[in-house]
Amino acid sequence: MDLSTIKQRLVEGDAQGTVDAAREALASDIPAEAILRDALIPGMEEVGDLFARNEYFVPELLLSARAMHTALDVLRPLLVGGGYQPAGKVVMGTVQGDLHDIGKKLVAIMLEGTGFEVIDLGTNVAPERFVEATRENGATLVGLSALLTTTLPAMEETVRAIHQAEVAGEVRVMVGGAPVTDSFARQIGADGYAPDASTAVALARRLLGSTAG
Amino acid sequence: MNPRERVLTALNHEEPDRIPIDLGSIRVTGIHTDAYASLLSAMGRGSEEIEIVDRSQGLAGPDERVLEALGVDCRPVWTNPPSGGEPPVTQEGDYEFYIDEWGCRVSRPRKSGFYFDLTEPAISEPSLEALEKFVWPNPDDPARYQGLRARAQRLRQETPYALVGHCDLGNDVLGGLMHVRGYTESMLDLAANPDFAQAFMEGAARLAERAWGHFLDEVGDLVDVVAFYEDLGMQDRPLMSLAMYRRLVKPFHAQIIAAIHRRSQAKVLFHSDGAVAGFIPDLIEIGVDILNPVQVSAAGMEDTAALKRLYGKELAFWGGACDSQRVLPFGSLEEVRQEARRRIADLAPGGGFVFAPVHNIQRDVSGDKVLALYETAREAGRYPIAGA
Repeated sequence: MDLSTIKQRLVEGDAQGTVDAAREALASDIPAEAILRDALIPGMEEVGDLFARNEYFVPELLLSARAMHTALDVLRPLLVGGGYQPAGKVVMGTVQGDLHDIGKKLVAIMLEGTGFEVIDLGTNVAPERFVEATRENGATLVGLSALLTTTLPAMEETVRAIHQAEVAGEVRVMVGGAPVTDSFARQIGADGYAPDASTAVALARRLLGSTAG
Repeated sequence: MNPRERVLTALNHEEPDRIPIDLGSIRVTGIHTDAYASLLSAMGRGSEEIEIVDRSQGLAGPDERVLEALGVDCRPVWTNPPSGGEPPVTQEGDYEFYIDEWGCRVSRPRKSGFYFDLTEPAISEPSLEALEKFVWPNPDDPARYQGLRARAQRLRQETPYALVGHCDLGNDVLGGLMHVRGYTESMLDLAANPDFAQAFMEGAARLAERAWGHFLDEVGDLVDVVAFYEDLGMQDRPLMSLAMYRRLVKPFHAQIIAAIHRRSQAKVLFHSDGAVAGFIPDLIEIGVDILNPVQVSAAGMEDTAALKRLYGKELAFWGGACDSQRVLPFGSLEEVRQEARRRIADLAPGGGFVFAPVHNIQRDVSGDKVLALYETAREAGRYPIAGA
């Protein structure tokens, strides 16, 4: 089973087919890390491109994400044993007062799909919870989401809390959501703003690259 | 020209004396209680008891003095709550919540929360077995329609306003799926479990058609517009491809809208937020007369002049006079006026436009901005439209 078949089935959203192909690849001694790096991640990148070009919409994106997760469940024990390192650890959540989920989930899916480890705290997340989770998980990036104009102040408060906490200096904060703009992001001291899920991946890579440097 | 004639003239794509104006005649052209309190104070009125007409959105019921002062030309006719009334709100931990009549838990965070949103969908497994056990709300409950005709008749006989009808259970085919399954799960259902998704939407459409039947039996001859609420758009794209919409959802929309047209002369207003420009020709085809809103901040909806040029002959626009995500909450008074003038110049020529902002006026909008917005409607909205 070659890697391009795994990738193809992932792009088509065929969960069972992706897992079967991944198992066959493992059986023919292709390492789990290679399957992730050379099939699943490029597959999700292609899904991201299709989404960015409006050829895929949320239902198709979620179908491929499900295939990715199903395959990852099989690969994960092998990856952990093999000392695999994710591209970065990202804590994500929708800020306090806001119960909107789907925008943040799309970003989380694209980040996971491109090799990041995502700790998703859900919605209505208090500033101190972001700080705790960042510390507990050793995350170096925090993603904040808001849909409501009325919860933008909570976003500002959360950025401040992260910057003031002891994790400051090593942790970058990126923000997004319908009412958020680049200038608002700068104004509240966030390190970056992404208008959509594909841009968020590029931003995460850039922000973590700059941390390392 | 009285307000009702003004609305009807505009909806028939002719120019009235000025653009008709709405505040609070549909569920999404309302005003949050905090913004309403600020408006009352900007109008020189003291603190007063404010009626809440929509608990989940925190909307105020503007009183007649306010509506008259702002020049509002229409009034809503709502169905009643079911027998047994609104479900009670319970406090629990960081949230207050209630279980709505779809069996879903909706909650509001006690800290910085102003709206009730879905936190626990009713159907956890997307299977036909689960759907068989699902208890639908009852569209035949007479309490919903009690007194409706008398109310509408009084408004029609004693006031000069156009009447906008709302039927609580008549909406949300896709929105209903999103509600009972959760936003993300429902989107996955469309791709992964289309049989389930379709079976649910079929049930939802049957329920909606039944509810509209009861509603229009009561007031079909009295309402000028009926509002149908749905969700098809996100900020940057539609929720699904046009192909998927046509295959899975559009037939149900067509079914409900045809049923409404069979029973009433009222114009059908279709509400969906977000980036829905690509769906407009299909909506026109299935009998939609009015689109609400033009969410000018969403992808493909910004160029209101182009939308008017492309679809304005067949479709009227209701709302879209001021962006609700940036300009109205965060812009200056002058930016609010400018935005409203621009949208009027784009959308109002030839009629076919009812003035309202993109969405409800949220709690962070000051009363003086609301006054400036509606003053601009009355002044810049005089026909012939300047700068058009």
